[in-house]
Amino acid sequence: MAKHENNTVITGIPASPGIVIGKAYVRKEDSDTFVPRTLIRSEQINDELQRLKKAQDMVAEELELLRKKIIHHLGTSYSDIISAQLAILKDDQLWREVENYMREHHVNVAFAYRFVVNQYIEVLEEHESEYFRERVADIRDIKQRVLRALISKQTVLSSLEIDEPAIYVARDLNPTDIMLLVSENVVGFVTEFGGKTSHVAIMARAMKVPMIIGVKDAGYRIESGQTLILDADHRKVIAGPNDEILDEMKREIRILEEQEKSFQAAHNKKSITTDGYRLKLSANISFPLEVNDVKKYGAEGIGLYRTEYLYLMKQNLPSEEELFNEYRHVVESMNGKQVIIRTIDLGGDKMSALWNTDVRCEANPFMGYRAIRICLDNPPVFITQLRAILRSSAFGEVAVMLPMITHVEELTESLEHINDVKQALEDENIPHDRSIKVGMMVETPAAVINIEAFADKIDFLSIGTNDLTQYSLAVDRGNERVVNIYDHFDPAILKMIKTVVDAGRKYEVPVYVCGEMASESPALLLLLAMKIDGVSVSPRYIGSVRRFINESSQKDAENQLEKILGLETRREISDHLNTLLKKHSSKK
Amino acid sequence: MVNEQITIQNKQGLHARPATALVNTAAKFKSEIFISRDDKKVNGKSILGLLVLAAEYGAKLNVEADGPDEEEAVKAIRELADKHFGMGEGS
Repeated sequence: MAKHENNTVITGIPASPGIVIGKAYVRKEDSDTFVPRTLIRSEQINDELQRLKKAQDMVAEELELLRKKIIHHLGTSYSDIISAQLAILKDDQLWREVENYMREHHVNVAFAYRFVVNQYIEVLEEHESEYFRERVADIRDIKQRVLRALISKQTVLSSLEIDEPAIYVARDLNPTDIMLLVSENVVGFVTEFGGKTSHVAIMARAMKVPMIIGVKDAGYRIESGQTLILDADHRKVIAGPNDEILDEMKREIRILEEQEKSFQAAHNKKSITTDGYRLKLSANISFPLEVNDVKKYGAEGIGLYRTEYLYLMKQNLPSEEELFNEYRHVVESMNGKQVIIRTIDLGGDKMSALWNTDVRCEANPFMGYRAIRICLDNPPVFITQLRAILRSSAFGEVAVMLPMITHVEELTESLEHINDVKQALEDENIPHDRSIKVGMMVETPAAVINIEAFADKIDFLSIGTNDLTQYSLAVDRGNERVVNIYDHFDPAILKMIKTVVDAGRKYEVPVYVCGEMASESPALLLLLAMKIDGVSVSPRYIGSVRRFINESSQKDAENQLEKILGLETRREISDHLNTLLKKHSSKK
Repeated sequence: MVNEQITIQNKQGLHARPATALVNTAAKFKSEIFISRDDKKVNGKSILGLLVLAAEYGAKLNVEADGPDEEEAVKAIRELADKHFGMGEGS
């Protein structure tokens, strides 16, 4: 069929890396808009209500399944979302109103249900509190599920009916959809909406499922049943590929798999250069379930444990106990290897549900109320997290890392909190590491310029190159019109990294890099040249980074440093690095 | 019929989780239970109704029960509100 083999190449934004081949499953989005209105007789009302009951049972069953999966992957505290959804689903008052509406207007149950629920949605949408407005999403979700079950007699899962690997195509997805669908033979996701840093993207990465977002009109350009190549590594989807392309992709996937095996086989190898320079190779994680990968690829520690997930997708601030249990679990599973726990690095936009103040409408959230600023402004929140981190330090090698430090006062104030927490734990006889290491992220230009004042007071520095680049070059990397300005190889960025490394040497504190930059070969060459003490990358890059280090000579790299730092343009820098890399790979 | 006023002590208001707790408690009683705020009155056994009240921190609600176990029902709901709907002091 022509339509099924047309090699349509569609581009999008990669949200989770990898290449997969599967049959397209395009989710129909019409269950809400096309609710037929049919007139019924009074004696049909009971039958109609029975249908609603059945639909509710189907949805309840699916939600229960979802709850189990959430508990399995994320822990009990997240399952609250589902409890609230179940309560909405089973609301008796709603049921009665639907029944009354049917008796009054003699219409079918789907129409009545939609009408009644929409009334609630309208009232809540108008509410002045952002927080209550947000709950509309839960109600809408339930409405969609019930209507889908009523009209097509299907739920998200039962509608799948797939027995071969599928790529799920939808307009938009929520994080729980991802969790529900993965492990049900779904191997990849394509959506029309969603941001790279959205919860959905974070979830897809954590579950290691390739995902491409921002694919315009995906639902129209891709047909259910069509063979699909989802190539997130090259930002594209190929619908209905011909045999030639398919074979080529299969070859590429095989090569990646081989490489993967060899990386895993090398998990015990040291990250040491040909001339004996050793650096610490650690992993960045956003969810505890990634610890498995960290161990599989043999990282020497966790260089950045992002703790935001415990505060997102939730309606309440986590308790000390909840946080402690999570951290302890991660720390224990690392068997004595260092775990650097970063205190929450959230923007006010993501957290307003947790505060009484509405800070959602900041004109400039990246320069607004976020990270350490929120923590110092809300000591109980900060102290709760610090207590949990310190308590977990009794179970392994733990360090604390403070994000977005800009002023020395922020650092000293944070250190005072840490000391107070230690003292309190001491008084309460709660075990913890009294000499726990405290480090800071270097991600604002102010911190770089003033770095010696910080290096003097801290145990380690970790350069967050993503934010540092964004703040230094005054560029939002999410903005397509200026994204070409965003470049780690800008001479200004290189000089900043050098400044931090030099300060680290002077004050004898290790300097690490934990941005995406550290997973790219040209950047690694540069970091080796500067004698960086360690890098931390996402678990899947551990293997390739280690191989690169094992094949490089630190001295050779260092000999080029002066020349590179003398170059004036990004272009010259990346050209020079790429020439060096060519020599590097031809030497093998 | 029994009436009593309660005050929402949860910092984040009567959102989905505490509302679910209230509904679950109300459902244990045979009496009809209504919660009202200003001129809005909703069924205390309906989570959607409670959400529509959008009761924030400090909001005063009137609990009304009518039926064989009205006394116990109102008492149970007041106690629940005093215990932050089972969500801890800090919430």
